[in-house]
Amino acid sequence: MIKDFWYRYKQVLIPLITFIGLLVFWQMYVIVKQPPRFLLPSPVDIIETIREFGNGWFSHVEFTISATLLGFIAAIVFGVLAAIGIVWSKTLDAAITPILVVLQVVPKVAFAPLLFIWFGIGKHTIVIVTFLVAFFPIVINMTLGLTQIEPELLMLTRCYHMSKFKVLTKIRIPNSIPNFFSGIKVASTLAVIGAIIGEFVGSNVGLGYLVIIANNNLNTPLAMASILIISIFGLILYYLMVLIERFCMPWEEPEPLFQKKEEPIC
Amino acid sequence: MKENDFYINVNDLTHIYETRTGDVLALEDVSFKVKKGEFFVILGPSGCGKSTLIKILSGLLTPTKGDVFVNGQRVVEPLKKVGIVFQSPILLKWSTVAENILLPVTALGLPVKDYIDKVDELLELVGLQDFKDKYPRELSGGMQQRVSIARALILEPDFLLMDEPFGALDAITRDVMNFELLKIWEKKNQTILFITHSIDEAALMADRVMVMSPRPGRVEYSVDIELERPRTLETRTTEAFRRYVADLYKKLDITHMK
Repeated sequence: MIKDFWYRYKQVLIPLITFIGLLVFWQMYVIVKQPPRFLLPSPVDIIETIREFGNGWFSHVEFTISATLLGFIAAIVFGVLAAIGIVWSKTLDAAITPILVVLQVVPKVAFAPLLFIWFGIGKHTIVIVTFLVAFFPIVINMTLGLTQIEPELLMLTRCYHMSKFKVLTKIRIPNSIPNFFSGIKVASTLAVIGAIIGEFVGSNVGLGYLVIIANNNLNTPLAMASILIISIFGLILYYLMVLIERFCMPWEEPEPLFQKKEEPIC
Repeated sequence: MKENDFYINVNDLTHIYETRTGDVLALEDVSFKVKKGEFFVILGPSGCGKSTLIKILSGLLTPTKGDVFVNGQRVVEPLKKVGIVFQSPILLKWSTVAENILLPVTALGLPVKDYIDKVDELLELVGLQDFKDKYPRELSGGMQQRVSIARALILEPDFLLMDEPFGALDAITRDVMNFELLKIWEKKNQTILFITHSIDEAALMADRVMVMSPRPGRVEYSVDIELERPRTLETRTTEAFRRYVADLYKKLDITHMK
């Protein structure tokens, strides 16, 4: 019985147990070695800090989450439109693609201060930074999905005299859905990073801002607590995308979250 | 036989591709005629220009020289009513089997309700009645290929163009599909142009076999296969069959030595 339980859930149990083990080890280490709090706080310290800060978290968490989501959604909308544009018109492709590559190649950390000078300090600029960071993977993946079609299928569409628009809606777009989700999953993690970078450079509120302030005051527990909350948010966002992906592709074999019965090696 | 007794007339097809490294002669003076309802097999190795031939026959490519007549009409643009079956099924993985079979209908903007009965009829013809609402990933390779054949038949095409349709299947499934196709053909009596590089398959299925040689693609030899129908597993053991096969082997060999 325990064996069956183990087989089924071991993919989740093993990392969970490892993680808990590390936490325990960490806590023990701090108790024994007693390092200064600003150098290495214990897991308990961090939980304490979170509780102490209490309602104070709300404004910062709300700020970061909303900035991330706004930038992310903008990246999705414009990313998909850009990909469709690139595939639809060769002129648009020639015009847009070099700009996209430049945008991707320039490190946003270097670019961000300029953006704040141009657009002013505030949430809107952070959203722009987030957008720029999340945009490229979506366009790239979407474009791939729109164009990666078997030549024989395109031959068939020509036989049936299908217009460019019909081919786009009936063939290219459905074909690109798996790639769309690949792009979105990558972009979701980058969006969080983008929002934090934006806050580092020009914000006085938000989880990224908290990390900076905490580090400046050698308040390591607070910094680590903020990072923890950022990570949790990133994880939730990512797995939300995974869930939506499952829902949108009923024709695909879903990857099992938990291991099925042990299968013999043929 | 007069010219217009033939359903498909291919006259002196020559096609040259212009590439960066020079001109490539893909087809040279290819001519042949196909009767209505005939099972016509084109037998040839890779490089004999069959992809080019398929594109020209379906109207997707205009040949450098020569022309194609189908049912008295010259082919000048992509033919709506040709059923093509490729080596891989090329199904839309996000659509059900029924939706896939209806693709030509929806693509041409025709009313789907006029074809609903036909879909059921075709599903029965290819033996997939129970799989109407399944997705392609739930079907085996042979089954997917049968869907592809049903799709090719939905518009009652002038002729079927089949490019090594069973080449990607394992040997046993391939045999099964050969006899399945013959059964379908005997019921519907479509004109079929069937391309293969399997000599056994050619001799088993064909009314007439045309052997092509590669680089450039040209017609080497044609022969009528006068074996009794319906062709069965026994047919393959008969003396006549083996003589046809040996003959075709020889004709193909000669072309390689040139």
